[in-house]
Amino acid sequence: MGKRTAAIKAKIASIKAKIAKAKSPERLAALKAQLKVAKKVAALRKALKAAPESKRLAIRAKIARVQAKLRAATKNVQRVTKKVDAKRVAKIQARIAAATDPKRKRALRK
Amino acid sequence: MKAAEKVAALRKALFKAPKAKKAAIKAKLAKAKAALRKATVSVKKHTSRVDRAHTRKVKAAIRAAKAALAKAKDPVKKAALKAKIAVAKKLVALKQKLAKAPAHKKAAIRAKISAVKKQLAKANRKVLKASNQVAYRKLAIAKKRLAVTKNPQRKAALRAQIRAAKKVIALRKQLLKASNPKVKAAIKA
Repeated sequence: MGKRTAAIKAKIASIKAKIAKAKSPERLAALKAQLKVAKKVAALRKALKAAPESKRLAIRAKIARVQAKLRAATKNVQRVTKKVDAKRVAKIQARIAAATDPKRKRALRK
Repeated sequence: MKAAEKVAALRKALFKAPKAKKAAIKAKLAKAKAALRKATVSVKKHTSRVDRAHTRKVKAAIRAAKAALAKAKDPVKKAALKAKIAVAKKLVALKQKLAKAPAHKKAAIRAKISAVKKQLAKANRKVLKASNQVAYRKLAIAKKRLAVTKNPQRKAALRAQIRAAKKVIALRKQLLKASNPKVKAAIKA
């Protein structure tokens, strides 16, 4: 297995693990979109190996385009993750403000 | 919150970091996530304790309302107490449902609980108002008796009764106006 093919396979496995853990529907959607593009890259790499020399250039161009899409999808996942984290912090802040029990308040602040 | 903020900050750093530094940040992130999990467990423990205490309080209020209902003669007060008991029972049932519910249903149940809490506050106000009406009537009767009576001992007893009734009415009025739970508790005491 080539170095790049192994890397994309590892990336797919990592995205799948993240999907299994993710709870936010927004993040889940972003991860699924990323997985779809990553799978496309893996499929194109496979096709590249099997393709005759005449078709390789075209497939390489496709791979470059799809990889750009993958980078965009990764950035989107990062953006959404940041947003989800910020939402979580805001939620905890609201809970601290609403809490009346001092022990619970302290636990929320930790 | 500190743990959640740390996780968020580390994630941000991870996204920006060069490949060489990613492994170190990932290790830190794993530690921060473990701390966050621990903090979440602690918060859940305290939340359930607070919830249990609140349920106990509501159950005690139901018992007190039932006792008051057994004593009450005024139909308006009786109706207000019955309504209060019904709403309080609903609140207890929802709290129990919340404890057993799966995570995705909890938000909906919490919304229902907050609505029912508002209903309970309204029902409480109605009971207080009805109790005050009864007290006003008793006060008027005592005043009439005081005007008629000649026995000094009885007069003194009636005056004491009127003073006490006026104080109770004033305290109930304060309770109706108060919004701070600490002030309310002080008035109730």
